Amino acid sequence: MTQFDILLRRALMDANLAQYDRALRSAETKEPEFSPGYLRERTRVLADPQAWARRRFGGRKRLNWRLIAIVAALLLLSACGYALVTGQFAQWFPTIWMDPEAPEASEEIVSRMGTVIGEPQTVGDETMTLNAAVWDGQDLKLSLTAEVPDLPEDFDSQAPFYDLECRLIMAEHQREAYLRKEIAQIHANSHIDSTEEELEELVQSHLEYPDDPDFHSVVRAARQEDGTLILQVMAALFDYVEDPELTLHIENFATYKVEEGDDGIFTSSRAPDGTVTTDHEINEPFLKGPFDFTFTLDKKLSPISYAGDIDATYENIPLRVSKITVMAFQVCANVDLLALYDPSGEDPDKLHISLEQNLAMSLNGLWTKDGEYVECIGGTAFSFEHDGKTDGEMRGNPVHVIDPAQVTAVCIGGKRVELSELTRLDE
Amino acid sequence: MLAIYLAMLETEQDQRRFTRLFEAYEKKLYAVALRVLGNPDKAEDAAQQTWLQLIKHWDRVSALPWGETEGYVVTVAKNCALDILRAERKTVAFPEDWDPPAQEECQEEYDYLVSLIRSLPENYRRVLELKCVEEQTNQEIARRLGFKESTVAVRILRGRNMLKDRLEKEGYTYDAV
Repeated sequence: MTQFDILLRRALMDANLAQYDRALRSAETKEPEFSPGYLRERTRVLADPQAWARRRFGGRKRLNWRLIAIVAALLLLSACGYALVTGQFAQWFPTIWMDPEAPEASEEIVSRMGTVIGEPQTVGDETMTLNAAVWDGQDLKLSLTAEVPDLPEDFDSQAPFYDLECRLIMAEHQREAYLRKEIAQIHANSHIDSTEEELEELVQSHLEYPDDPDFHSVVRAARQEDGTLILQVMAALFDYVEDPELTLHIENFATYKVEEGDDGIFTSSRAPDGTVTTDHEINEPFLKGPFDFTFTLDKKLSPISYAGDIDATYENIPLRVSKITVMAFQVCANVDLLALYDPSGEDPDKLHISLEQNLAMSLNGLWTKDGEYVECIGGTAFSFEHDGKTDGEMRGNPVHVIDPAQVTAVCIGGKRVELSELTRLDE
Repeated sequence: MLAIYLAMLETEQDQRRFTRLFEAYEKKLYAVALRVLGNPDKAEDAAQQTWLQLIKHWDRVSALPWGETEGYVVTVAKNCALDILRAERKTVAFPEDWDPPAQEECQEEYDYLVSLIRSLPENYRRVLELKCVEEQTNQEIARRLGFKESTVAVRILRGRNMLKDRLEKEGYTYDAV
């Protein structure tokens, strides 16, 4: 950037400050009369700006993009006939990583958390079958097969999908209980003090929004050899209610038009009145629907959590592990940073963790009762600063599905952390 | 190519920064939007669009020195309000010719640049704001303003050169950085 460009940038901003000086000065003394609708949105944006913006942008979950790439690739491999195993759940869920050396054991684990549904529906000349659901108490996966007569020849499972009009909706009689627990959990994790009245107001404002709770569902699809589509829906569904009853709505499933030089960021949003806006053009939907599948999840493989205090080190970063949660598809460790932390990196006497280090900090692997070491990949870490302390989460996705009850230790920064040295929380 | 999801406020520190920004500028950016739109309902819409833009580009916003935040937020708010006007087809065709003011006696170089920008045709000024302040790509600007990308590129170049040439005519020179 040239000297002139630096000057220009500042001058452009100052020109606006000068132009609107009177309005800005009056804003300092005059209280605007905001509408009730604006005040409701204000409460939401201040309580959780990320969730508010996500809702306005269409509820996009910030998923690990590397996992999405792997999911798409697995779907493609399966569609091309490269199925690793022949079990029923393995066929329905090619995106679930089975152990190639023990496929039957993996199939058995998945079947314990799988609900077979097998419901077909036809709309016009499209037919879709909801095959099954798999739930580990935190991540929900749904498998569908679709016969779509006008699927484009050049359909690409790696394309950016427009799935805003596809969503998961909880039964009305369960929404409130789910939202109350979700909001309570978010606030417990956020270290933000809120009064009971503020939390209640938040619950009521979320209840008014028909799309809440938002399960951040993502839909991916691939063409199979027989010309049908296999679809996988992934959603974040916590076990806040017993036997959740859900409706999967699928409509206008399409791909975005990709132009040369595109930045690869595709956003779409749905306003409270249902109006949809996108920042990229969408191709003609290849799956129009609408389809509505209602089902109840009565099976899950619950996570197992352990609490305690174990010191570990990740690349010279001193940590204390306070909790480990083991799930069928993911392992998560809550950690405290045992050093004074300066996020800006300006204080030489304090620890600075670069963004690259932050993103690389993940659970490396785990051990099972039979002595097997299972590598974990694609994890993320977050850090939270409050009251002068810094804590966060490290996660890892095992390379094949696991039975949480069989896990005996996890690997953090090369150190083996024994779960037997922690207290199991559900006992 | 796979869709890449937005990186937004991740940490509690980010959320605290956002709250501070919101509390400092909520009324101001509403006042700017109201000044542009003249309608409280639309000004509220513009205000919410502004917060969405700030969250969408949080990586840039959170890196701003606090002293720059007011100018940045006001610029974003003005442009969100103008987007609403444009969507309602209420924009007026701004004149392309420019009659820059002469430098006043004892006026500092920087203040003169600010007065030149204020007199710049709005079509050029807006494109320069979106490019230089909001750091949008030519493609994003083209989509937002309904221009061709080539038009955007030309306006950025012309607008910048108009200002620079005028300053150099008054005897100011700039080193490449």
